[in-house]
Amino acid sequence: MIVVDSSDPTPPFEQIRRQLIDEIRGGTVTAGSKLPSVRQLAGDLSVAPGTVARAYGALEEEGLVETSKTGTRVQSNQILPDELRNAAGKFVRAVPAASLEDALRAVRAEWNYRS
Amino acid sequence: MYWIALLVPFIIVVAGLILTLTKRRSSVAVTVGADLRGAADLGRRRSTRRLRLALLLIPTLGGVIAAAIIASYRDDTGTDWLLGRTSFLIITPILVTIVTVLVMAFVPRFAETVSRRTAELAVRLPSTYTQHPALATLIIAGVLLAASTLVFGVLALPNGDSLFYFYGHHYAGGGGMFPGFTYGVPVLVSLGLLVAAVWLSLWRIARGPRPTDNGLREADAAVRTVTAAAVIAMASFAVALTLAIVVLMASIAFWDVADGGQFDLHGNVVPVNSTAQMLSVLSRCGVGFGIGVIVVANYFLVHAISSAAGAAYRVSTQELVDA
Repeated sequence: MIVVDSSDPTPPFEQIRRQLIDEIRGGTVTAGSKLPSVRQLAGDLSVAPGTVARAYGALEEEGLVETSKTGTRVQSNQILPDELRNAAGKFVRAVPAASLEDALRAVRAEWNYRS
Repeated sequence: MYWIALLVPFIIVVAGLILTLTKRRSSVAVTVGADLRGAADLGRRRSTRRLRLALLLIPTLGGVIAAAIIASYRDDTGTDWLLGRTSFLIITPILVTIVTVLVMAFVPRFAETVSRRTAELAVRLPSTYTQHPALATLIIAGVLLAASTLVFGVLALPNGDSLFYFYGHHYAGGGGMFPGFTYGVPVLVSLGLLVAAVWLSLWRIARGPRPTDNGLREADAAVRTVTAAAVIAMASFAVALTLAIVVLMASIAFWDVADGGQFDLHGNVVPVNSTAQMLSVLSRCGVGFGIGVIVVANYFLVHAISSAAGAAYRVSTQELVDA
């Protein structure tokens, strides 16, 4: 599920790009599966088709998706390891009240402490 | 060829009678928040209005075309027609349906004023809201129409005029208007256009923007499902009716040939051979099959009308309960 929040100061293009990366790396969108067409996603999110096209283009540059005549497909080698995703899932379930920013800050602090 | 034009009012009357006797199916129940009740009601009214407008095009366009052709038969002013008038009559159901399904394709949007819009990453295809058995029936009917048109086209013999093909059989007497390639090519071209129109319509129905609220999404899915069902049923009606017309034309011509084959040019009875007997049996089977297909075509029309004329869903409001 992709969400575009018009009250968020982050540009819609960046919101879409970030969430698509999360969906792909998190394995929610399986490798090789087809993403919706630019027009379909833009229509559902009420944004300009160019915004979605730009997000897809950015993902292509990062090697997460590939676009051909048949559409945009998720690349097969970009999904995070199961071990990492399971650990992240446990962490998120353990702190249901925390915001994403706080959770990331906590992980970053823990990471710095470990290293 | 008057009988083809008379099929139009006949079918409208029969469909109307069946529709009045048919009990309406209960529509889908959709639950939305109290704040979205207005949007759900408005979306339902808009979709119903759009589909009813499309349905109104069937008798309007069909009636106008049929009346114009009948009038031109009665009072021939020598106007050149792009196609033979009989060809126009044969493809009238398909032409009307092409316009109807294209009008049906414009699924209205639900009015939402939300700051957070959501979208699923699932690809919506033309088949997403389509019932597969109904689509398979349409494909089978289309293949049957194309195959019968080709077979009759190959069987037809030219009558000397390079444009018109009649069944000029070697038997003495008999013969009649036969759906050779003169009629077959417009049928095949219009069938191709209908396939393109149905695909475009289903594609448009599936790809249109979806609302964000879950309740409205259910309502939206109900509208799309009903619209896709009406499109498929309308297309099936047109294909089946055209198939019936083509088969009936061929069968009646065969029947004439088989009956004419019993007499020579001077009206003397000649021994009936096995080919004439076979033609006689085939023509009677063909007439029975054609009438049966007209009944099936009526079923599709009633299905299309009952899908499109009623409301796509019922709205109930989800009340907030204090804990």
